[in-house]
Amino acid sequence: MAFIEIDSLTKTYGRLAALDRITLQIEKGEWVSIMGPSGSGKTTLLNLLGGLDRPSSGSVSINGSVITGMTLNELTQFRREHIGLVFQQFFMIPYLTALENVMIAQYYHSMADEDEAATALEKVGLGDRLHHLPSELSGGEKQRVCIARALINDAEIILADEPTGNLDADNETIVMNLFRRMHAEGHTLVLVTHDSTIGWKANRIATLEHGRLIKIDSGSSTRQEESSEIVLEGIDRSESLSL
Amino acid sequence: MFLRILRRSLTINKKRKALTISVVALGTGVIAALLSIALVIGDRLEQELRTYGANLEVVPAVDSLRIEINGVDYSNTARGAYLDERQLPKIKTIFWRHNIVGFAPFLPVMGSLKDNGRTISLVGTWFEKPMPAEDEPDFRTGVKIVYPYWQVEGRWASDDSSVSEAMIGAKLARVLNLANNDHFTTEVNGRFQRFRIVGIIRSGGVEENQAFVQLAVIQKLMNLPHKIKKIQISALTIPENKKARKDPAIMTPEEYEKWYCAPYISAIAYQIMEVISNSRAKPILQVAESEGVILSKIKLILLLIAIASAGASILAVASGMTAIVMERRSEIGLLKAIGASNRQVEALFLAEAGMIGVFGGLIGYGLGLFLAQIIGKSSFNITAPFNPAVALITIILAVIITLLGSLFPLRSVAALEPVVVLHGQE
Repeated sequence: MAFIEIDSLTKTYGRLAALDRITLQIEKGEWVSIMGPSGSGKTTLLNLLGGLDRPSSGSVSINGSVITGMTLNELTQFRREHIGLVFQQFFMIPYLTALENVMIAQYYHSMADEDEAATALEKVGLGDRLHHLPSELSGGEKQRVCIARALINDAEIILADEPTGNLDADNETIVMNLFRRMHAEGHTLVLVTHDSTIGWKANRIATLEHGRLIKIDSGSSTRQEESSEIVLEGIDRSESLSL
Repeated sequence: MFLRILRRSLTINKKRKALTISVVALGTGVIAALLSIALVIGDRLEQELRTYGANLEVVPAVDSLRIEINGVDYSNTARGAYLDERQLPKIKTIFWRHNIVGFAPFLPVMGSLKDNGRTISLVGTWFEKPMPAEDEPDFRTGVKIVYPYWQVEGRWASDDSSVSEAMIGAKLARVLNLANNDHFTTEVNGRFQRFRIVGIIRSGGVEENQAFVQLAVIQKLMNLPHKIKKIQISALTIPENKKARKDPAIMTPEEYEKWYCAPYISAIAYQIMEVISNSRAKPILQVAESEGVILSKIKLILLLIAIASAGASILAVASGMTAIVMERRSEIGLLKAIGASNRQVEALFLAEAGMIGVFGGLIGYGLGLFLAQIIGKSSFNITAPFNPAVALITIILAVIITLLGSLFPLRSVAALEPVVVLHGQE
């Protein structure tokens, strides 16, 4: 049985099928890109994988747990323990500093640890931005805070929805290098993008169209490649991302 | 971490929070003002009501049947039992002596005018007699104290019997064609006595048909030294409840002690009977009950205003908190997405609401105290002092109002799905 088993997953809104009988297996440590044009159902699939939404039919099981059968509270608990989320709009709590935005994920997981949160931010190159509010950070910096937050509880699965969609080229490189490092560390990555350059960095690319999975391609990345040393361009450090 | 989040979260939505705090402050301010007034209004109102006359009457124990013809009490002259004037100072020795505003003895007789033989009702009494009590050396008492509402044209008569002054009712004065400074002579018990009129009384009651003279003069004419027929007492009391109306003879020791140590009119009457021998003290129920009804009604009005104010505040807080929740939908969605349960998110908003309540309550109490001074001064001539208990109650009420007002918005927090607010559906 695969680490993530998606079986005939369907999500409809009235008569419209946002997802139509998607079946897909993702192995542990794999990096899968979900690609497709706007409205193809990429984000809907990611939401269902993250337990943020419920399917109309079909199931998702992660590491043997059928999350589509879980109650709201069980889903919340599962998400907090196993899943790290990164969004395109780099959502942050606007009145908390970068450090506190990472600590809040620790707080709802178990216990906030300021030193650990600071270390996580240093590892994404934001050691000098710990006490800055989101309004004082650039888009790239915010997204790195979100990545640190997604990783702080050592989530097995990272689900990212267009993580570089609002970033310039330099910040896109920095963030993608962080994703490559996460993958190298053994995290399972599911990354939604409509940018083929980004998508092809994965092990596999699942392409959706009108809610249907139309093809699965191999990407450029292999685990062996990822294991080699990665220099984070734009970030003046090369230590492990293992948080 | 929770307190850290809470502290930080208080710095956002400042305008809406300030508005919500203002609403809570206004609502609780009204409640605090009413509460402050209600606590002091009872005593003040009771004092005001005391100006409407006596609420207790003491008669000889054997005089249980009242004989009254055309508003004039003839029972005193019809019977032979008397009270002893010398026992009157004892009234200021009872447990509730400080609640005795004043008292006046009465010895009524019928006399006939020397000029035309017309019969008139003469009442011997005290006007404003000095009666130093142990802890009230300046205490003075008489009809001037018991009936402060009497309108007197001229002046109050002296208690000095050597000057033989009289105050006569306005109706009697009209009938007899008498005015201030006129003299009249009456025959009582075969003796003649000349009086000078110093005041005309308008009371709207039976007093307007009577002539009031010094008690000692009547006692001398009647040859009844130190004798009086009744005492009317003005006492500060609290409205009686059912338990207070129970016969003290069948009360349990606990009930008796509680009743005895409360300024119920029945308890004061009981204590007066203990010190005035062979007496029967009875409440003038119409007055006593009216006072209770007025007090209860005023307190009910205050309570209704307070409830209306609290209700309006709850609705306004609900509106403000709903706006705050709507503005922070993304934050709520994010918190849920990263693993916060509904309860944890609700706890954050409730804590914020609680803080708004505390601030609102603090400001509300200050506002209420200010309002209480204005209302108190203009309506009841009272000053509402700072009361820590009222302050605490106001803050607790403010927190309760804010939490109740937050219940509806919190339902939308629970119903809010992170997927909708974070990136909608494709």
